[in-house]
Amino acid sequence: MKEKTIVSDIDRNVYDIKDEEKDAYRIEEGLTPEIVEKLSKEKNDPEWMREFRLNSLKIYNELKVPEWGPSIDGLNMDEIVTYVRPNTKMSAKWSEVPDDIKNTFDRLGIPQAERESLAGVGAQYDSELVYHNVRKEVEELGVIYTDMESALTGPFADMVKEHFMKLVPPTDHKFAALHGAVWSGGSFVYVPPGVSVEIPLQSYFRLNAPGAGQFEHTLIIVEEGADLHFIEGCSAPKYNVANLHAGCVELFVGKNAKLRYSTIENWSKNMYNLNTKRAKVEEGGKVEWISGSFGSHVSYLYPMSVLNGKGARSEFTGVTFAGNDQNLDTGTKVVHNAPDTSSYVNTRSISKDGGISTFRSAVVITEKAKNSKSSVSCESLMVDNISRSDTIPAMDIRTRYADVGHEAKIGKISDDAVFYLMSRGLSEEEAKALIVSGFADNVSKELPVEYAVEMNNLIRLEMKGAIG
Amino acid sequence: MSKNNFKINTIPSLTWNHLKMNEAEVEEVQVCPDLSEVNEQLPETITATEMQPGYASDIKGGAGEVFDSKLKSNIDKCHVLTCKEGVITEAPVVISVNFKDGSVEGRKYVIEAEANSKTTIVTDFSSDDGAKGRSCFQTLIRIGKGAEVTLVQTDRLSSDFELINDVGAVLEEDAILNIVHIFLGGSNIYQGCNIVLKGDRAVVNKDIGYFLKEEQDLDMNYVVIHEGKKTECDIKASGVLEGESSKLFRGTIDFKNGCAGSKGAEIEEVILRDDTAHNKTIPVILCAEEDVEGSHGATIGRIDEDLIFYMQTRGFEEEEIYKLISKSRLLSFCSKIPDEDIRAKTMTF
Repeated sequence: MKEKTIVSDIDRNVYDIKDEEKDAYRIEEGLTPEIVEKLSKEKNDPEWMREFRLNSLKIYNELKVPEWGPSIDGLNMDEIVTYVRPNTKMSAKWSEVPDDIKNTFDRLGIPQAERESLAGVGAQYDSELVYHNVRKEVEELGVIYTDMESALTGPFADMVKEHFMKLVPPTDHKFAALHGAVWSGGSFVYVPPGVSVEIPLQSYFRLNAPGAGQFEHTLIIVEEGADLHFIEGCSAPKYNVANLHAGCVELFVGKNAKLRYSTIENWSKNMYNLNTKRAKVEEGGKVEWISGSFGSHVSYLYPMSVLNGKGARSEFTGVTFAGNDQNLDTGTKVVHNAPDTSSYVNTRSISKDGGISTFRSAVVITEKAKNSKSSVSCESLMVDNISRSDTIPAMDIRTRYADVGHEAKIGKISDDAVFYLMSRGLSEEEAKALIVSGFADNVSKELPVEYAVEMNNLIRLEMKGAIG
Repeated sequence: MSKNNFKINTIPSLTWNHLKMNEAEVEEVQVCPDLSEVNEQLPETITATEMQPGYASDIKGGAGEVFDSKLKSNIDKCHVLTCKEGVITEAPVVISVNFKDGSVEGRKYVIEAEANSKTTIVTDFSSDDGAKGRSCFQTLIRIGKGAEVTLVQTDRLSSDFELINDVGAVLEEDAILNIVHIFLGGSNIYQGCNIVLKGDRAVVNKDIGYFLKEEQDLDMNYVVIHEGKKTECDIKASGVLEGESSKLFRGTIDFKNGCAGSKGAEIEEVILRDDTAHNKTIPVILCAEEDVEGSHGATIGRIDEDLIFYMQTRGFEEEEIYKLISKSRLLSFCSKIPDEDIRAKTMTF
């Protein structure tokens, strides 16, 4: 009989370190008009934002929880704290960030990454940014990278008002409405016409408080002919109570502009990740989504591209790794709404140790999108017999002048490949980890090398104990 | 949903509601039993009996339980055709149904193919010119060990007639089911189909062809459930949409835990010939078993550029190429109809 190797779950030491909540301001649990009013007052919102929040709450109460995805019964909004402000102000120097918070980001390697390979960094701790800085030479190009609260009241206030939740309106779904009601934190990025930001900007979101929600809003406007790579990272320590992440990302990609948005998501496995991301791409523009989903207990995540100008393009490259006690429902949506647009979707999902991964997509080609092309490819790997992997791709084509291709495959790790690698001296576990890393290389090869290494480490750690 | 409507063809795993692909909604009408003109050609080896409307309720169709219960409560009997163990029936069973104007009908057949038998059933749906109405038709099939059933169903309905056609089957070890569906006529056609590969090494092959024009609407829900080990399914759908026609293809391969060694493949090729035609496709794979191979693919829109180029070098205009390819696809499906008379009528419909 085959002997099973039992190895405990992923070593998440670096992500699981919990800080004590010292003098942090916590709003009371639950979701009522009074709490939303209080939050709005706490954040000195302009009047339009106060009204926007209250209207969003009304919509939230009217909308139903989606019945088509993973269960979110374990999430009780009456027990979620929607706003936790750390006891510090946002700073542009790491030395001014309180030691316990700075140490957390140090362990996650954020300051080091900033020194070595980033043009700017925003670090959010619970509901507020604690650090924000952008390199002087990037600032001199006219690039704005700041926290959303400052943007809301600063010189770009009108631009924020014009774009805020216009791509993802609160009526979109229940958790978009929730976001509209209680959002806090996040980043605003503006890249002027023709400016190319050579090295990436990064925002890192850390949720430390147990039973809390994080609702950051990211708004990026890349003007005509400009170019930006934005990286987003997320993590949280594991608690026995449910945490919630319902962020919102809105990307406006101008004519002939290019935006690459990379995410490595590694939330703890008590997290409900109900995030919404959407991009609108104008004529000749391009959006590239690079997405690695590793953490959270339940995820609903489908970055969406609206190709609104002639010749606009989108690429989505994703990997999802669902392990024990994880139900990750991920994928993408593309709407071709102009002639000569094209989209390319390439995803991999891996299910292991009872994990459930679902690839869900929608490609819509409207009557306006003559001569458009779309190609979708998704592959799924089942590592054992107790996991689950589903693919649910939808295509809605409304013009004869379209070329749409779709392919999907599901299967297991090839015994021959494992045997070959073992014959070259690798253990079974190493062989499988190597094969899975190779399987996910569609994403890792698109990431900056430091992040690709981190992703492969995550896969290696997740694959520990996968043999048997 | 309107008070008098009900849902059918619900996909086994739901997706975003705004896509309007999760299910179809049909208006509730009171059906009357067996008023149409039905011509049955039964080979001598087939035994025909009548049973209670709820007979074979363990076999589920793809249209759904609401449809099942509504049909059951609106018919007074179920027609059972049995092919005895080990009997090979060479000539096909032919059921020709011609609907009259105003028909609102329900009819249910159960096919019992006992172990090691072989049967072919052809069902042809037609209606009088200008006839308006709706038919609800259900075929449930139980296929014993080593038995083989081929079910061919052709739709040649007039342009105002609606059809809800439901198929359900359960296959035991080494059983084979071949299904050929050809959709040409009718206003609104709803096709449900649910196949359970219960026994080890059971196989289902499906060939689905549709050629829609004007304002025709076709809504399909094909589901194959792999329960037995080393079971196989192969679903091929192909069609042409013209005018303002619309079509929704739901195709689900569901690998249940324990179906080790199973394989499932589905592929769809759709040609849109007019800019007002509307295609929806949702090919789903659900998988709870490690040792399986599943795949699906779809190509939608225009004919491959290389093929167009090749044909143009042979002197064909683009419009002619589309007509030629469409016709060749129809002929390839028609060649699978074993009854000569129905084959000829279908080819010239």
